Amino acid sequence: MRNFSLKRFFIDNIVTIIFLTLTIAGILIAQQPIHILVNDIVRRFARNTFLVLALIIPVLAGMGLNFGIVVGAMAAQAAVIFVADMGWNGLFGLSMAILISIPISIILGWMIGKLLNKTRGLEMITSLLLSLFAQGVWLLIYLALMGRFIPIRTKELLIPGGIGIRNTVNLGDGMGTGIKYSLANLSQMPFFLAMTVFLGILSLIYLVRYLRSKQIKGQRDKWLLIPLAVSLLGTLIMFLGHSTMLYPASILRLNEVDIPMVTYGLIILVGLFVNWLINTKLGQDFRSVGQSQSIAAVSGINVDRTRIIAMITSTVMAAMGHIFLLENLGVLNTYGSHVSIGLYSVAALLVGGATVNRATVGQAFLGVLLFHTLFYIAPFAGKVLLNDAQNGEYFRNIVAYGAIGLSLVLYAWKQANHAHNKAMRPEGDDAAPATIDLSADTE
Amino acid sequence: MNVLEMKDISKDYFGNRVLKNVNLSVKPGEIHALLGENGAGKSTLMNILFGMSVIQTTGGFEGEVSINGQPTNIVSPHQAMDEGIGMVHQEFMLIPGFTISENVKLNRELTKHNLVSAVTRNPRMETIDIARNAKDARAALDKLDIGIDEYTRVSGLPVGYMQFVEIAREIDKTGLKVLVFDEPTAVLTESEALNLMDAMKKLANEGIGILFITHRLDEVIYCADRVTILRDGEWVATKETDDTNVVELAELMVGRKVEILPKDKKVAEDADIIMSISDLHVNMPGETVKGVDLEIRKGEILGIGGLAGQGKIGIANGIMGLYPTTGSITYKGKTLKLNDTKSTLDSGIAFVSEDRRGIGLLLDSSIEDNIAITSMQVKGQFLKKAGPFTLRDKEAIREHANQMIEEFDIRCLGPNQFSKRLSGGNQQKVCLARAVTLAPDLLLVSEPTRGIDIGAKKLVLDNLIKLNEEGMTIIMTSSELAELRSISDRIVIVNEGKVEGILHPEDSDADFGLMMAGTYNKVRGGAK
Repeated sequence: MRNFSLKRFFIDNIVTIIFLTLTIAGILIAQQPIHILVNDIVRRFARNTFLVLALIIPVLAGMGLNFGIVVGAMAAQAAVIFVADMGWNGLFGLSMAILISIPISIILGWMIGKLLNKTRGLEMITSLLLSLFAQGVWLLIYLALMGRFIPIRTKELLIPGGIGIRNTVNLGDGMGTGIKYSLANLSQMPFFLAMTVFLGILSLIYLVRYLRSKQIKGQRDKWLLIPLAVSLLGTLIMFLGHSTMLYPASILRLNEVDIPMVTYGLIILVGLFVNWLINTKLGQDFRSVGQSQSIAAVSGINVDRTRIIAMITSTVMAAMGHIFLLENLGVLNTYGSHVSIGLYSVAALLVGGATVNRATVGQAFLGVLLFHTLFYIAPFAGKVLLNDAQNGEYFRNIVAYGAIGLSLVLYAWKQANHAHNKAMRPEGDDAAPATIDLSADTE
Repeated sequence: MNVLEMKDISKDYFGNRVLKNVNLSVKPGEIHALLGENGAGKSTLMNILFGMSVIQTTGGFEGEVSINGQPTNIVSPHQAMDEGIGMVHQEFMLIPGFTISENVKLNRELTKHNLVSAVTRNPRMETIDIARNAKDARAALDKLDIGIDEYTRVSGLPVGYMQFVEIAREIDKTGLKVLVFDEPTAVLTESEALNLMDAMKKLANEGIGILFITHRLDEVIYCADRVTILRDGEWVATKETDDTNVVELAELMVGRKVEILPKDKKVAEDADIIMSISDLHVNMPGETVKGVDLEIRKGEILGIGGLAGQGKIGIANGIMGLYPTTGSITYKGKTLKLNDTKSTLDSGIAFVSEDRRGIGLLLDSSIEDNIAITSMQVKGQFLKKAGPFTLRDKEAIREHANQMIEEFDIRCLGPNQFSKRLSGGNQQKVCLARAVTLAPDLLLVSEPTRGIDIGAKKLVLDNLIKLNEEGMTIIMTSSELAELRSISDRIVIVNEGKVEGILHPEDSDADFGLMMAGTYNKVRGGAK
């Protein structure tokens, strides 16, 4: 087992620790009623997690943080606008939006992959600039061509002059017209019951993983017992909240929070899907290519194709994620919805502890939770501290860009430090100690 | 029957013949050593065996390669693998972030079906079977008697173990017939090298033919059954190791005619010491210096030789402060500040780098700027004042450049031609001209004749002799022993980052060969 060192743990997780501290401080300062806070987090988590999960595969494939998910989101918006124009409602409308967005995002993802294969080593800046360029194309199509060359049936979608899509498109009232809440309304559960179910499932997953660890390594991985115990305890706590009146009234009000079970079920499924994909041969190829393109190529892996597949997967997942976001939001900001998701999703993933070349599903979940809690709480904390909610609004931007900047700088700093330590060892690499505790770096 | 037979192999790169009728054969269960200096043609021969694209794109080769008596035409590394030829690379082809097991099974992972793969019939959708992969890796490691946990990550392993992971990967491939070891012991300690050679013997006992590329003569004697020696692209000899010895091998490896250029003056053995180096360590990747002690006499040409990767290049780069350096250097009685290129230049030492195009020249600048730039920087020459601004003195630069072009016979269209457009030899002359412009007392020259034609070579060497006769002390580092012997007063041979010994140009081929192979002190008992 890895030797545990507090200092190392601190340095490795510095971004997450900073954000955890900020979030807790924000909650304590803002003094929001807990059920209101949780209600908002539940909705934000439902909206944003899909998109953050879409970032994981490109990170593993060595293509960095994919700002190109903005392009995937555009595919989603195109599909949603089309569905709104056709007047398709409810689940049918949602399914059609997803179906339409898939071929568009596959083509766009393939194009992005092709481009990134030509700009090797500059994937992140390329995808960022590409998203800005795509915004220009988007404006051209939806502001100048819609209604003029591309016919729109539903006149309410158009700007009064008849050319261009309105700035905001209403996606329904959440009661059956449009696609708003078509998924969320399927099944809702009060907070404690829903959490009992989810944590119960989590406990089950850890139990299975613990039991199966013997099969793989010959001995049971006792480190899995910790998350197993934690999730079991959580299940019990939530179950008590559901079935008894043990907790104080302010906490019991959490039961006013409704959890959209289908949406959350889907999030868990997508999380499991990403984990499953990582463990397939394709996933192994992603990781091989991500670690070293040259060695992967020498071993016979088609590097370019693998990178394109990674990009297509990410773009399709981003498109679907953005549709779910719009479904939950109920309003489409035609020229703005997709722009910010790249930045916020990347920031959320990094806050969860991911780096440019390492990301897990757990980090995505944790990151969304921390980032969006802080996002929500910042204006309230700003109001308490400075008597002005607007300051908290500014703080949101500092948080988003700061998260990305900080984690990139820290990553570069760690790399440089590593290289420096290596270079300054007087005898170079070959001076590695002849005897070494070989169990030290076992996973 | 031979498991591998390479017959009458010839190869030329654009008219430059690098292999001439080379023959090589490996029997099953035999360890066959391939011996030769840098540039003897070992790498080209292996590129042919592995069907590397560099061979195909330059017009293929002449001759015949047979596997198990069957003539084959290998056109890709993948095909070589299918034919049962494996390679343990000098630079490890391992992914540091992966476990040993993942590396052993890289792109040959065992998988099992799942729902998606069963429906789509896409093998890439199958789940990796971690347990079975690990079992295979374990079996391969056990064959080598290596007790490391197969789940250990490669990044934490000592170099010696990484080598074994590479071997494990090769023997895990089914149908392995020939395994090539490309200078596997170069990065290993002595005990690690012994372990490795024992593992090679074990593999040979299982019937695998082993081709062992090395320049360590005692290792050849220790573990090889036969040895083939190449020199300058030609087959020199194939011998049973029982019938030969280290001294003979050294002679065969190095032996060639040496023309010693006439020099007017000889440097006395007791001339003043201009620079003394002690315990110099330089961390130059691939050319690490591990504790060199050296004294340079005023007015001599000191040659530094040795095989590639042994650290000879690192010495001059360390003196110049281009790579992290420790130790102490005294120059003209004063301690030289380490890791500070500017102060080294200030103290009157100039450097002509082995990396002409990388750090030697500003490729997109004119010849005259290239010649003047270091002097402008270090000595404040070629500058003029205009009020608060310091400007370059174009006329002075032009005049000096023209003079240098004449003196060094730089063939160019004029002093404002881009240095990128010059031939290698002329680029080298520009580098020399710049160093000489500094008027140094000590000139460090690394690989001055690498990649330049014979005529330019002669000119460069003549120029060095001329500068030396004018009183400049020169340290010349070169991979070409013949050239070191032709102009140096003394020749230092570097092996494994340390000074193996110091020879005179007239000393025998065998002595040079033994020193370069690092076996001189063992064989001659440290007589010198």
